Amino acid sequence: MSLLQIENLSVNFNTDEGTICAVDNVKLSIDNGQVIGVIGESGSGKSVMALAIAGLLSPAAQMKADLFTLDGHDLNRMSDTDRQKMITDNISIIFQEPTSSLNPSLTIGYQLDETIRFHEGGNKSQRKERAYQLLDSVGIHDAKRRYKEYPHQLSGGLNQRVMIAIALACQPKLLIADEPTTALDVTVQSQILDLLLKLKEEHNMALMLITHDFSILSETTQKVHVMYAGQVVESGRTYNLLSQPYHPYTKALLESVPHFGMRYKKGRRLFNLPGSTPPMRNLPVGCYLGPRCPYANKQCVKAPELTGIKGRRVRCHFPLIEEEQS
Amino acid sequence: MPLLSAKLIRKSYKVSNNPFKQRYLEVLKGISFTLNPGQTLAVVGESGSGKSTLARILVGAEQPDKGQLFFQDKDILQDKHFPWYQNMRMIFQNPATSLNPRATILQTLEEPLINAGQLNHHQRLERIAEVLELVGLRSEHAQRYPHTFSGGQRQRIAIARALMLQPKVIVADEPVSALDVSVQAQIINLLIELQEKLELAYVFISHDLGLVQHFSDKVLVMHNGQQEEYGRVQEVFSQPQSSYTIELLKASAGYKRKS
Amino acid sequence: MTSQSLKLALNVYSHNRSAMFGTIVLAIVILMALIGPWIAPHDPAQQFSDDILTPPLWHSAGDFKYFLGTDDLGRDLLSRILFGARLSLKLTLIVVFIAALIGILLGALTAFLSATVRSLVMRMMDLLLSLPSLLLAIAIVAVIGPGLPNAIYAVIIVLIPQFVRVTQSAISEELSKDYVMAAKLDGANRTRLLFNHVWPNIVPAIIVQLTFSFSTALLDIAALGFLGLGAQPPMAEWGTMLSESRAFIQFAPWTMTLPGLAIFLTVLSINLVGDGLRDALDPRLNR
Repeated sequence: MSLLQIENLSVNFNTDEGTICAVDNVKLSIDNGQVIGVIGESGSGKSVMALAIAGLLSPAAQMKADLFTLDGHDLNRMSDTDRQKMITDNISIIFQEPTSSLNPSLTIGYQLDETIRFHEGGNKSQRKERAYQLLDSVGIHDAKRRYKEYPHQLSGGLNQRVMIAIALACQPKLLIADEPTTALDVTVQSQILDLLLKLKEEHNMALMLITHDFSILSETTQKVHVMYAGQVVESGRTYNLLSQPYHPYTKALLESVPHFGMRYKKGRRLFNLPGSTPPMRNLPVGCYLGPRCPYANKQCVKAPELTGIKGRRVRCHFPLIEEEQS
Repeated sequence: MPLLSAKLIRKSYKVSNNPFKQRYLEVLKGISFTLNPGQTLAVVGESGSGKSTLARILVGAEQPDKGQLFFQDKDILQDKHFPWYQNMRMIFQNPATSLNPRATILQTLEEPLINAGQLNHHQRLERIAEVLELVGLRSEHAQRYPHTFSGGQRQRIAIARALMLQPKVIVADEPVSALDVSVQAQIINLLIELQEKLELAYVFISHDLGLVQHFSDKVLVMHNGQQEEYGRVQEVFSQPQSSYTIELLKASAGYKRKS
Repeated sequence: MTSQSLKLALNVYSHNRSAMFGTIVLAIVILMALIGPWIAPHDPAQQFSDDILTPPLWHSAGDFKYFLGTDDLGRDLLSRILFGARLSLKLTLIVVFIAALIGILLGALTAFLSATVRSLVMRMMDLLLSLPSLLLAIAIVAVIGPGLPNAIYAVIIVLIPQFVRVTQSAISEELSKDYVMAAKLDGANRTRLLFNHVWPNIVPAIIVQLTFSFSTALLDIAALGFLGLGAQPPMAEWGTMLSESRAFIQFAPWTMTLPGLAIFLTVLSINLVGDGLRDALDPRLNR
């Protein structure tokens, strides 16, 4: 049974210039202990979607979903307070900038303790013990010292570990990591990813990894959703999707980044899409990728639907599948 | 003959203003390299490794404490009148902040030409139109303000500004890391194209080893101001000598090899 | 300012309701000040000894001859307020102009100074800023003696540090930005850097400071007048009018409330305009 099931999730923002649809009918499901990836560029709606799932949208946003179940409970049929409780008990989220996600004027220990008190309670020494244990589990071994320190005394990598410890304090069934390594140095990135995967095994959590970098997803996730301008344009098993992208945008994302470890001829040009991501308040007619797509033709002025092809779902009139046969 | 060569560049900053207890932080501990025309040297390192300080020294924005910098066999650190801005230019990481928000593209691009003082107004306009075309923009764009452009276009403008005076060396400080993935490739392709056309030498500062491998001839690995490793990209990446380089390579390739 | 960003700023400004309200009120005040001498029903100094303390028109005892009533010497309040507007605005304009000129120049000069001298100058300005502006003005007038010219000097001295501070901090903030570094690498020298690149970016901050200084100056001049340190009777100055009528607040409240209202509305409208300008000129809006 899936842990989280969402159908037709949309998030709209009302602005002076009309309604902006930041997330457009996204369908998503995560099983217990599964790792899925969501990939997209800035402005693709991936972070707004994460916030919507974690119940953290600002009041200005309007969210609706035809189906929204968590651990077998239908969240659409719950009262607001019950839904919020259900979500905070089961879903945790960590963000890109660990240093700004932590309160700079409170100690690591205080911030950790606050979450533990809220979710587990217990007396002071029990909570402290639990905090040490959590810090230890995220690889901070001098927990007693760090407990008393402030975020600015820790490096970015350590702060991210603290964020993960706070996220784990409620023993979530789903951990959403929104670009968890983007702000960190390369060598620290892989440590944090290793840690996330290790914790996922230990706690039997599901993990939703949001990123713009395919190299992070390739070996960590089982399923990937590719987002562009608020829509899922392709989703499927990670291996299949990476080895043979059907959607032109997926192909562009994959091939526009030179992969480390491959040898290139000097001066080889990278595959790329012309132009840039359209602003949400001014999306093109029909297929949102249309004006940038090298494969587009007349039919692309009609908006494509997300359709199933060979165990994958693709939002394109001309999936790159034909190329394979010819 | 190398175009640019650095010999044991050292730089430290004062970190405390207390006159009785002066403390210095050494950010560059002896950096050396050579760069030929049309070549790319990648400088790789994490935040705090000193790579941005090195970049500023290479474009003349800062003076090193020790060391020599030869440009076409002349020690330019000794030459007080060396026109840095006509020979070595910089492309900044974030085009949103490196372009003056209240200046038109024309005003921004005209600046180096005015300071060089070689061309009259009409010739300047011609040169601007020429360079704009070179970076894939149109001459009409010159009348607009930076905020009316997308991130990728702004970086093209920043590149155009660097090219105005036909420099020999361009120092690019993480030129694509502030851009969207699908736009990064456009800019990298443009840089490669310009290098082929104009025989530019690049000092390419990056943390993305995939990009470095694709783009560069030589690589300089820095860690805490120390020159960890320097050599041809293929050699350094296939037979790394320093433990830090090995760690860096592992981290970048890690999620391909594992599991 | 460039025409394009000006258009954008105007658009934002015109959609700001409180700023538009402030603009309209201020425009009326300025208009009154300009045409005051021609529409004023009486000479502001003329004393109608038969009609002292006539209440305003809407009062049952009001008189058509004196629309806003008269004061204790029988002078027509409307005429005095109109002439007062003229005087107050003129003084404020002079004061702010001189203070801004000196302050901005000083602030810009600090950019050329060495770090030590600069911090010395700025600490001096901090010292002046740490005193409430009115208190400082009173202290200065106490030293150089009361009277309108001295009050003006005092207010100018009080306003200068604000301009120095704003100019200096705006310049040093801009100087640390990437585009300035880029311009430096384009070969621009320090003067060129400051005037061609930095200056257009700090103009909005200075415009905003100008409006706020305008209201401070107006208030301080009025306050000095009220305390008897500035404009002297029988000059029709709002602050002086307030102080003259202080004794009659019990039985002739209009003599005090009406000049007070004039000060209040003018200062409020200037502040609203300033707030609106600050929002409209914020470069972050330049998407």
